Amino acid sequence: MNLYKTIQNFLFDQKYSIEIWDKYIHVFRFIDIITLNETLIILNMENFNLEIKGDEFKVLKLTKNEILINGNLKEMRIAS
Amino acid sequence: MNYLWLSIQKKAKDRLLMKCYKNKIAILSSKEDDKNFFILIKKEDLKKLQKVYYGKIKIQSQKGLLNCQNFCKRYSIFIIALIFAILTFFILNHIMVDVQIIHSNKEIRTILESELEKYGIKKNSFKKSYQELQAIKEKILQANQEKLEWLEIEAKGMKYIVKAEERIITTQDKEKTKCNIIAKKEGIIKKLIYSKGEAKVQTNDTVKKGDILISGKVMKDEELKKEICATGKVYAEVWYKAAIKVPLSKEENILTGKVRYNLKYDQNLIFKSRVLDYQEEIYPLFKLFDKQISFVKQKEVIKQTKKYNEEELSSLASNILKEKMKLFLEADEQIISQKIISQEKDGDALNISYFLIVLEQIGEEQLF
Repeated sequence: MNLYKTIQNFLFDQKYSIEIWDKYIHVFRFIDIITLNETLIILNMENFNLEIKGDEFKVLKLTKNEILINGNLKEMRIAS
Repeated sequence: MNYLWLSIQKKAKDRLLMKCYKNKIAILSSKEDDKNFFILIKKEDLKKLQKVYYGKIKIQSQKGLLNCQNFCKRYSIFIIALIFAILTFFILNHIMVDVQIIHSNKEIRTILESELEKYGIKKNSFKKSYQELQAIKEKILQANQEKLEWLEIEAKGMKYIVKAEERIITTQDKEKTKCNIIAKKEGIIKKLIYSKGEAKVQTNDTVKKGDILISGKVMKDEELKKEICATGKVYAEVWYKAAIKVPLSKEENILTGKVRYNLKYDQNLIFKSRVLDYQEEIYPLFKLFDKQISFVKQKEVIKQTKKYNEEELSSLASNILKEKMKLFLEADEQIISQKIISQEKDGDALNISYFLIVLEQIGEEQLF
């Protein structure tokens, strides 16, 4: 497992990532989903909560620690 | 990997997403329309989802191996038929069912047959390529230089057509300059036809085997004038003894009027015959794999044994004798008379001995 973690750390050395493109939001390595609906998504990250506000949010992909959202982003906030 | 597209009601999608997340069910893709929400999950996650989500889940479609498996199941008959058709096509294209050797000489045909078989050109074998056929052709020609002048192996449809040209080595006959015509058997001379030479016998002379009939030595005043090759034919009465066996009774087929129909593939009946003894009329239909398929009309017969009377017996014996003698006699030779010497019954047959007088050409050339 050590070897696996070392390789993982080498390839992706960040604790998390949040990427925003036109109409797409990609969040990697979140801890939990607090709220999930068409206008508000709150994700629990390592040291903070990520609040994503907008409308017509659609979850395109969802795995244990990764989410890809499509929709109109209006506001993104970090709440501790 | 097997994947499933599931559909649920659109209004329950947030609840479903949360349930999926909480139960570590990965949503690999999603889409929605006016009423429904669709998600793509792994097949093994379906049971997990059904345990935690009580709404109505509909399997929309399958992806991956499962889809392939389902396709195979659904179209199994079509797939089997397709494979069978491809195999049949392959067989029809690559298997040769016959080898036809076109040549009038039986010896050449036999040589070719064994040579071709040696190189794998035989009935029910895989088709050879053009290059292979050319190579085989060269090898056969090389091995039979003295017998074969030219050879062609052609793959036509499902059979090979082999054409050959025999090598004729013309050896000049030993020039027949000096020869006599001698008697090849004993007999009484009845007719003498000659164009060259000097006759040494006359009509009604009895000759023995080896006697000179027409001499090639032309004499004049007891002096040898010239030596030539005598040509001519000498016919003599020759006596023979012949024995034949004639059956005392014969089996006759009597039609009962009952008719049954069947099909025949080459020489074999396709359906079991419904009559025991029958006469058949064959009507060819078409050829399949180079074998004839025919329609067969079977007319039932009853076999009856009929005894010959004396007149019939003698006529039958005479006919058999004539047929047998035909094999030995030339067109210009004939039976002059025949007489029964003895008759002896042997079980169901009658042994008859004949004394024959035959007019036969007895002269043959002898060089000197």
